[in-house]
Amino acid sequence: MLCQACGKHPAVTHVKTITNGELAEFSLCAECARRMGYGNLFAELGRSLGFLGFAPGLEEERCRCGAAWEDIVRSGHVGCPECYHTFYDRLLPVIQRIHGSVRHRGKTPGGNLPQAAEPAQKGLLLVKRQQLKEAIDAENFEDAAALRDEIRALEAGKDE
Amino acid sequence: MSEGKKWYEYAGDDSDVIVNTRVNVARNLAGTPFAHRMKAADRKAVLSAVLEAAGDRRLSIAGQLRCSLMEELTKTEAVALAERGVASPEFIAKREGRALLCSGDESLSVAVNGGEHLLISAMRPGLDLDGASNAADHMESILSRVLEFAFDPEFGYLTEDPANLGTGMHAEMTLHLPALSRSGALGRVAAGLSQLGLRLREGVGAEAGAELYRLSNRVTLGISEQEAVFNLKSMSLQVVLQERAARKSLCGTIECQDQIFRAYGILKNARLLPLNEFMQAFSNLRLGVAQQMFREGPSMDVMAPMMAAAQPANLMLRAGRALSKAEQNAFRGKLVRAALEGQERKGE
Repeated sequence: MLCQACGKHPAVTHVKTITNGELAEFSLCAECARRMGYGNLFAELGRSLGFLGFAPGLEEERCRCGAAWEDIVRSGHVGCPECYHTFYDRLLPVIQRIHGSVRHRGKTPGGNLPQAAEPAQKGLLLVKRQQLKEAIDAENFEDAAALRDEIRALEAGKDE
Repeated sequence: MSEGKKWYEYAGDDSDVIVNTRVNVARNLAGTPFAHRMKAADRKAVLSAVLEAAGDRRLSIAGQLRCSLMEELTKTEAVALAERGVASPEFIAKREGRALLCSGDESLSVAVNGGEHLLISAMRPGLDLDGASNAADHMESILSRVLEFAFDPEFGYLTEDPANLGTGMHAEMTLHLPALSRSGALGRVAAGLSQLGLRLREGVGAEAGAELYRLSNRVTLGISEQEAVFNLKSMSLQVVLQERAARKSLCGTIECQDQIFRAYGILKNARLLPLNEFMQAFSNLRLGVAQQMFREGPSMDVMAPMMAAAQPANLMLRAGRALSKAEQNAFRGKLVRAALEGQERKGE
């Protein structure tokens, strides 16, 4: 099927629209899709397969959700939240290419509601508890005592 | 449509150019596969978690959102949602396991199990980015008290589509740009906007000549919600100024004036009004109204609800039955005439 915008190249992206009261599909080639702001960036980048990590002989790694890197490239969709860790090195350049940045700025869970401060604190608590465990394991009791006090303070703040 | 006016039936600020504003916030539940890898059981789990949250008595949103299971809607009802801009065409294309939670005036919605687990949308007439983003943000904050969203300190909110990564927030404005589009300057404007991380796309009814365009932020990672909204607002006002300037010279020509007054004549008198003809005439009349070319003509508040009401699926919903093309054209003509006549009577 040819692209419905230029009529020249094969269509690769299908965009849903409503035309005359019916759900319709608009098929676009990669170039027109990009121009119109649709399209699968992985597929575009896929032309340079090496760039996307298709090194020959690379053993196929799968995320916990079952997704392999190839599935992500083909569908243009990441499999699950964990995939961002599993395929970190290969996703990084793609994300950089889309956003020009790889560091989140803005809202964080519970960022703007006082009642919702909990999840962020919960994270901090987990970190501190882990540090405490490590300090105790290392018999570093001075640090452990300080960490214990910090954890108590955090827990007390949570109850308020 | 018995419960008062919907959000899209008002005109809003800067409505001569800006038709409406919407803010979408994408969120996914932690520990659950993303949409295209979900099994029926996963979809069910996400849906019941969201429904439980929306009905949680401890939250201020309890009972404010009405839930429609997409598979229980008729095809006409589903298409009508997309025509009104309440759901996207992508969302209604596959209905299994999907649900739409919606406020009474349809200005606030949560689409469940679409491309992302949750898509929170807030819509406002005219230019109201702050209003829409506050409403969407508020809804997200409330839901986040009972739902754990997938988040990573480096990448922000994790999404199936890496283009939503970070804030997960896309703000979008529908702009009516007849002058820029007829002068051929739109390509240049769009290219300039693209370099600033914004995207200008054709909107609904583009093929019919509605001259509506959608302007949105492309980048969601590395830029905060406030910065993205601020950027979009300032750039959209630039586009508004360019459109207004282009309109001045366009509307000074006798050809354009003729088109506008003919359009008014068609919409006021047509007994059979096909969709394409309506869209073109609507665009012209809207331009005339915005430029205050009529001594006693319709106001923007009359124009605003007409667009959604005249679309085929919405016509059929209002009629309460399936309509043939000819019946649609007749009913459309009748509705549009009634809206414009009502306005004239008020003016007398």
